[in-house]
Amino acid sequence: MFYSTLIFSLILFLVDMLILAHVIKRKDELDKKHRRFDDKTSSILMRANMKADDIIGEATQTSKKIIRTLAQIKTKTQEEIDENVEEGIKDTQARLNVVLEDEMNKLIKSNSEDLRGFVGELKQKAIAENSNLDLVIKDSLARVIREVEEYKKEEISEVDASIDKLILSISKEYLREYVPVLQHKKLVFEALEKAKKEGLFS
Amino acid sequence: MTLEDAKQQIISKAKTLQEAESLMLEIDRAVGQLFKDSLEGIDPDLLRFVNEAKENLHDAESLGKILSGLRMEISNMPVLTVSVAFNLSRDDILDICNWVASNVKKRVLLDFEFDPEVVGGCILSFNGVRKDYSLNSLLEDLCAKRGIRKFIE
Repeated sequence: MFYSTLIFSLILFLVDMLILAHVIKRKDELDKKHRRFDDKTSSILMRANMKADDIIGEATQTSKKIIRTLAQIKTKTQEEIDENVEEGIKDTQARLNVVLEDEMNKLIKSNSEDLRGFVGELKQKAIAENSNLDLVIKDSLARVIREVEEYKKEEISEVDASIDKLILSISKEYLREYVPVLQHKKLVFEALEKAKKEGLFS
Repeated sequence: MTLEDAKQQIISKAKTLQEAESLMLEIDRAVGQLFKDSLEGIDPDLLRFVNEAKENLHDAESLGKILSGLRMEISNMPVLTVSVAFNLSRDDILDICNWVASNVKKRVLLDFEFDPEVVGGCILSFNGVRKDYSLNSLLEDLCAKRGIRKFIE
């Protein structure tokens, strides 16, 4: 019994071992597969990234090229426009000059007498204006000189008045302080005589 | 001496306004003593006048009226004010009074006034008229005509 049990147990053990070995083997296979799959996936992603980078770089270059080209076109167009406008103006000016010269020649030919008269009149007017201007300047100058003289007179007059006031004040003080009483008394009698003559007491 | 002579003698005593005021006070005093027997301490000229009047008048009331009339006459005398900038001596005042008595026909009272603003000479005021006869007006005139400097030179 013991042996049979032992044998059975051994057999069971062997079976288990076989199963375990199979399971391990299976797991290895799965791991290998899994690893292969991961490698493949990362390779695809890497390639995709590289491709995307290439595309973006190319697009950026293309855009830059387009912008540069556009700027060149713009500058060139502007230059062309400016050139054309300038030429147009020159051309018009030249034509206008020709027309004006023609017209002036015609006018001179047809109205030379009138024109001479007109020019003469202009000259006369200019001379008259000039002489008027001379008069205005002379008048202004004379007025300014007159005003300056008046101002000087006023100033001198004010200074004179101040000096006179000062002299008057000093004179009064001197007379009050230094004229003797006898002289004062004499002046009182002279004043009374004068008042009598003027009829103050009548 | 008549009553009029006595009156003129009293009036001639008042040469200045101050003297006239003293005299009027004396008259007031005399009027106050009329009803007494004696007039003591009264100015001799005034006493003479009163005695002269007593001879013609018999009652004190009439005498009082005469004295009041005298007082009125003195107070109505015209006043000549002399403004000067120096102190007048008694002799100066007397000289001026004599000059006025000799040269002015009517009787006037003199009033002397000290005015430091007067410059030499005097300012006279009479009957409401004031005239500056001092050197002040002369100097002002010269100054106004711009001749003060020439005058001094």
